[in-house]
Amino acid sequence: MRTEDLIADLALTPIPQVRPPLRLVGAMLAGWIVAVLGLLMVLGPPLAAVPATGMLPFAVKTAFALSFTATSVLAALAAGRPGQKLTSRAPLIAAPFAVLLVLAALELGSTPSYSWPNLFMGTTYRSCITAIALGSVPVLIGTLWAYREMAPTRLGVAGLLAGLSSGAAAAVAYALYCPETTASFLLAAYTPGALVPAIAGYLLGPKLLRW
Amino acid sequence: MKKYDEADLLEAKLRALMIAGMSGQSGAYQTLLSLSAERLRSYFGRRLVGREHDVEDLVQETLIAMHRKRATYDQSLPFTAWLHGIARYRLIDFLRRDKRAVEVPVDDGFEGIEFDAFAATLAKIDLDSLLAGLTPKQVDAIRLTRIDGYSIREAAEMTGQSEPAVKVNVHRGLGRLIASIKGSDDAN
Repeated sequence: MRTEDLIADLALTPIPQVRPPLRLVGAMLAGWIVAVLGLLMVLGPPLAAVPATGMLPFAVKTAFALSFTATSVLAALAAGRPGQKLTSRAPLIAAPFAVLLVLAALELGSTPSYSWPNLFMGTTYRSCITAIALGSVPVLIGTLWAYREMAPTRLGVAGLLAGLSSGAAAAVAYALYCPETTASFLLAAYTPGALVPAIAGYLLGPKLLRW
Repeated sequence: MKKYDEADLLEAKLRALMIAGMSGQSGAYQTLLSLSAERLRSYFGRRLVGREHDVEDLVQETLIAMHRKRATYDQSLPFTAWLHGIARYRLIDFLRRDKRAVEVPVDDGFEGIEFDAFAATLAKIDLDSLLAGLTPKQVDAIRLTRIDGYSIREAAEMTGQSEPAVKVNVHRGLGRLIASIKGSDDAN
């Protein structure tokens, strides 16, 4: 086929109706609802721990997980646009973690060192990581499906960021249940929980996101 | 500074055409695709010297990719960078599928616009007819070391020839070039 003919054909097709960022957010939300329903079936009604922990720890957890999600999604979207540099977007993901680090340092300063393991491990360390990792599965499926509308040029990085977004969204869901109160715990348990889907995304990206 | 102004002007035009195209003006979109095809042809052409058929295939593949993924263009960002990102991705994909294991620089951007391309084409014409009499290995070795300015070692890595082989190919190729230039002088 001659290139001019190809161009003429392409120019005649109607303009696309799909808006990839909206589709990505929609698919993530759908996956997130599935994750919340899953937690609901396993862990019962949400927010049951809030009276015990108080509003502040709940607010910190939710704000952390939401800003983690927002910054990851922005970076994932940037990774799906050819020619857009990630250097301006990806480092923002560190911001919510930086806030947690400051809070964790304050907690460590006001706690005798023999109690430090309690700050990080709490009593629900394993169930937290498991809940976030499993909860991220439906989100990751939706995210990767919608992400195929994007045009990532580095598939591993794109998959990693899509996975991180899914893990962060699952952390938002689990924050509705988490009975822990310390920022140290969020750092020690939420981070590896969210890294599980990030690694899965990194490995799946080159296979699923090719175009 | 004129060159930069021209580049900005071209970018502004391309972006305007893309935005018009995305709002349903198929004429603007067709012009944009034609302009993009020209840029892509020169971008791939420089990296796959002497492989016109592959170059044209890649141009078409990239136009289709650009068309299919046009919703990922963010109107606040440069069109040229977006197109280059897609072209580079298609080139890497092509090289992966390609049986010949040649290394091609993919990290640099598009070359300077019209005037530079024009001057370079002009300068290349004589060179191409002169190089036509040499073997492909000699052409690669001379082009990389004497024209594109790579070191012997870089040229060896890029072509897969050993360093001594690059030297020999440059030496013999230049010898034949000189002979052929002398020959054509004699003929005149």
